[in-house]
This record gives sequence, structure tokens and C-alpha cells, in this order.
Amino acid sequence: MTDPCWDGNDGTLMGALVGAPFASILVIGYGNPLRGDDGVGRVVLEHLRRAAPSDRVEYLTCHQLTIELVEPIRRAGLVLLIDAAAGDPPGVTACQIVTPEQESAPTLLHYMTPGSLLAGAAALYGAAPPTLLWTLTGASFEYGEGLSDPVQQAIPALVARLQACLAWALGE
Amino acid sequence: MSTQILIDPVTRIEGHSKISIQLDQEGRVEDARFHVTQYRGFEKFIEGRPFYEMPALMGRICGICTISHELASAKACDAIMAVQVPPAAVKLRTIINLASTLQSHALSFFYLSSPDFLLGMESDPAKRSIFGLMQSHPEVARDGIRLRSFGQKVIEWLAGKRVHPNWIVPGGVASPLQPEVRDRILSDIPDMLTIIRRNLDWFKRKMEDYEDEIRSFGNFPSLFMGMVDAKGNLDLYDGVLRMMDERGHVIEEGFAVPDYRDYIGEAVEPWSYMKFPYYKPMGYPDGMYRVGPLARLNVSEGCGTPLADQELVEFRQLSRTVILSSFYFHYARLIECLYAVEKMGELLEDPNILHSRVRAFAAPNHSSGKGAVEAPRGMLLHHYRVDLQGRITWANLVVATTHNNLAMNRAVQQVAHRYVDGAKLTEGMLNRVEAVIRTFDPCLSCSTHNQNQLALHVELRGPDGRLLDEVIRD
Repeated sequence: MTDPCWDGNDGTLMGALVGAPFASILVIGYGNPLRGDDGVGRVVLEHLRRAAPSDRVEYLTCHQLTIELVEPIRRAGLVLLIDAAAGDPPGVTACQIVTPEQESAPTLLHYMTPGSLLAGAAALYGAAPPTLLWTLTGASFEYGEGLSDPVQQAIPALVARLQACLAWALGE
Repeated sequence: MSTQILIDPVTRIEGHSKISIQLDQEGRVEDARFHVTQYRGFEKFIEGRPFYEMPALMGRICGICTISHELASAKACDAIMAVQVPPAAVKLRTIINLASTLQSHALSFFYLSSPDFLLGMESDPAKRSIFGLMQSHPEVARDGIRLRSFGQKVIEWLAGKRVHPNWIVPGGVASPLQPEVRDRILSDIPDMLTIIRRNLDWFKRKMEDYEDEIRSFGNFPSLFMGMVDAKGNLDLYDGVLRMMDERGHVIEEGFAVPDYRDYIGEAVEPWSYMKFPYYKPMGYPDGMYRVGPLARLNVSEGCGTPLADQELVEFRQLSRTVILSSFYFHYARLIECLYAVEKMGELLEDPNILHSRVRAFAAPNHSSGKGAVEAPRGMLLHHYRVDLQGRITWANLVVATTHNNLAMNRAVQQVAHRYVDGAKLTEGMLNRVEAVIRTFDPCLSCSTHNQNQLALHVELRGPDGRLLDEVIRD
């Protein structure tokens, strides 16, 4: 079975799922729903939650990544993050492995990068679980609710990929 | 001629501020001021809006004290409607206020202040942060994160989301408590109590290393004001306002919130957008008073919960009258964390807490309403006037941090007098100025939460405007 995190766009194998099946998975969809496409992470998560309910998967939505997330992260065997990204054209999905960023610590407590969050988890609990960051490029991040057309159209395909990723990670 | 030192901007505040320190010709500190340079405007742009929108709108004043503003606003709306909030809703509002206090105090103590205590006031600013603490004192960092996370989760479980929820409404709350939520909160309480007591233990020992700061950090006579219940005990949700002087004499046993304008005046200075509340009978600025955790523990008979009351007995041994040093705000915050968790547990054990009736409904029946709660930083009051259709025609907010404005200015002066050497600026001086503001945990802390060093630009200029010295910390 092909690793569902294979990014067909550039041929890079995102084989972060060594260790599957995982006993517990954390999925975090984050972003600001009042800033246009920035809210896509939360929307995608809700679709995924409905499509792939599981008592081994914890779904969380939040505005931004904060240090308090180290608690659910340290309980998880695998972490999937879902966020919007800047880029052109809009509606393009990407997946990358997140590594703890030991050298850079954020200065704002309201916002952390995925890497600094993992570094925090590692510092406090000795290790951070494997983590994948899934992103969808947005068309507009202006004030307002609702997603742009390109982003809305890209959601079903992203949800399908995430569903496959979860199934692989759960060993189903 | 005198010289001025300007610290602009001061970060880790909600919005912007600066500190100016005036030196005389001998280089001694003559004056110091804490200027709030940002205008918010909520009191103006809500005019014309229906009163029932206020809790949702006012919650957006702040991301940390969102619950406090929603509660004070909802209570003002309750008064406009002239309703009696159902008892279960009063308890639920109280619980969410306690949770809000807990997460805010945890943020202040663990994230913003404990790096100073554990890593040292003179330590490398790049490491003096919650992130530095994770490396050096992971157990304290873990405790702080767990405590703050618990407070946030209680808010989310009750209200649907942890920031700007829409659950606190005029007349009560939007939905009753479910048994599984109650049980989930109760199951975490023993661990939270253990965490708080563990951290009280090390902090009480650690205070011995900070005698100089205790003497000079906002250590001056002032009045103290806090909300108390009918027995004179601490109450963060409802009660009367008690005023005490620096010798521990109660000068106002308890005035009702609707009468606040008889007791609290608000002065304005041209160099700051923040108002200067004062105790009217003593005039401005002699009527300076402090609010917040230290004030609340000074004015209360007790907390009314066993573990917190035990700690309060020990706390009061610091002085024969009242505790004056603002450094002890930190200690008071931890005691209030203990109280908050104990009180939450007590309220959740009440069989009435699951009652389905949690909201009263009515049209506007009064042309004005005032509502107040104890926010984490002190008494917070919302006062609205409405027309016959219930649209806001006027509003006045007296925000917790505002009450402390005179005291913060005085504290900055005191620290500047103690630590500033007019000839040369030092990192230690900057740290102390920041640290004294931090004891008040001003709501000015909300917007950036820059968790290690502050981005400061300090200029020392001569009377001719020539730059004599400069410190830039990015």
C-alpha cells in the first residue's frame, strides 16, 4: 500500500508513519475563522471528524498553537496538524514532517510554531511524537468569515487523503 | 536642567504604553510615569447597539479576561432587565469566573513571573522565560501549563470555547451543566490542588531571596478595595465593595456596586489614555487605592475554603496590619488559585448545579444598569444607559487595571528611585521596572505576552536633546 503521505507533486516520500499502527492519534486543526481562508484547518478537521470517528483519535480545534497543547501532544503516538498556508496557486495541499526546533523559542505566548511546540513537549516530557503538518494554500486572509472557492473545492480531496492517512496510521 | 529617560514601547501589555523617568540635574530620579498610549474606544462604539449584545461585544475587549468582561456586562444587563438570575446560573457564572481567574493567575505566575524567581532577575533575558524554565525547571513549567490548561478547559467545557464564548448572556447562561462535564471537572480537582500547594511551598521559600524587591516593589501605603460577601469573605462573583486603609482599618464596610460613583472618582491626565480612579472622600491623588489579589486578601475576613484559609493565616503573618508590598501580589495569586479550585469543587457538589432553569428573560425595565465582578486583576465594572428600546446611549467601564493606575505609577517611581543610576542605563534597571509592573499583572499584559525579554528602547538624553546613552533590547 502506498504511503498516503506521498506527495505526488514533488515525488518526496513523506514516510513519517514508521511505527504504525499507533495506539492514539491527535489531530489539531487550527486557524482564525474570522480571517477568511485562515480558518480552513478547523473546517477540514470537522469534515474529518465526521468522516473518520474513532476512539483512538482525539480531534482538537484551536485558534493558534499554544504551549498548553503539549499536554495532549505528549499523550499521542502520532500528531497531525492541519493549517492554511500562504502560497500560489490557492487550494494546493502539502504535507511535511515537523521536527522539534530546539534553537528558536517563540517570543509570543499566544502563538507557537509547530516545531517550537514539539520542542516544548520534548523538553517537558523527554520526547515528542512523530508529527505531520498538512497545509492548504489560501486565496484570501482578509477579515471575514467563509472560505474562498478554490479552498472550498480543495477540501474534499484533502479530507480523503487525511482519512487514508488515519486509516494507515491506525492499522485499519 | 533635568533629563528624561523614555522607555517606549513597553511590551507585554494590552496595547501600548511607555515609561518616562525624569532625572534632576544631579541625575537623581525626580519623577516617573507609566503612560498608556493606546485608545480602545469600546465605550463609544457600542452606543446605539442593543443592550443584549453587550456581553458578546464586551468579551472582545480582552482575550485573557474575556469571561470577566462578559460577566460584568451580563450583570449590567440583568440590572437593566430587572431580573433575578436563577440560582443554578449564578453558581455556573461563579464557576466560570473561578476558572477564568485560575487560568489568568497561572499565566501570570508561571509563564510571566516565575522565570524571574527561579532563573534570577539578572539572568540572561534570552533564557528568562517559560521556555527557559522548561529546560531548567521542567516540573514547575509542567505544573503551570497543567494549571492554566485546566482553567481553560473548564471554560471550554462550560461555555463551548475558551476565548470569547457566547454562553454568558443577560439573565443567566445559555445552557445548563451536563452531569458528565461536572464529573470531568471534579475528577481533576485533587490534582490541581496538589499542584498549587506544591508551588506555594517553593515560592514561600524563594521569597527569602527577594528581600530587596519586597522592600522596593510597590511597597507603600495605600488604600485597598475588594469585593466581599455578606460575611465579609472573599467573593469573586458578587458582593459589596470594601475599602481598607494601610493600617488595616475598614473605611468603607461595603458599598453597593450601583453606588460606585459616590465613592470612586476618575481623573484624567493629558499624558495617558488610562483614567486614574481614586477614592472620592480623600480626593485625587491622595485617594489612591489598589485592587487585585493582594487587595482582596487584605480586605476579606477570609476565603471561606479550608486550604486557602490555612494559607491566608500564614500570609497574614507577614504584617501586623495589612500587606503593603506589591511583590506579594504573586503570593496572593497562588492563594487565590487554591481558593478558586476549592470553591469550584464546592459549587459542583451542590445538587442544584444541574438544574435546567438557567436563564431569566425580560425586556428593558430600567434605563441603566451596573454590573461588577472581581476580575483576576481587580474589580471590573460595566455601567450602561439605554433608551426605551434598550439601545445603549452611554457606557462607562472601570477596568481592573485602571484602578491600579495611580499605584503602578507610584511603583514605577519607587523602583526608579531605588535602581536607576542617571548616568548610565543598565539591564538590571530595565528588568526591575518591568518586574514591578508585572506584580500588578496589568491587563495591559494581554495582547503580546512576549514571554522572555521585553522589547525596550531606552534613551537617555541631555537637556539639549543630545543622546547620552541608549539601550535597545529587541
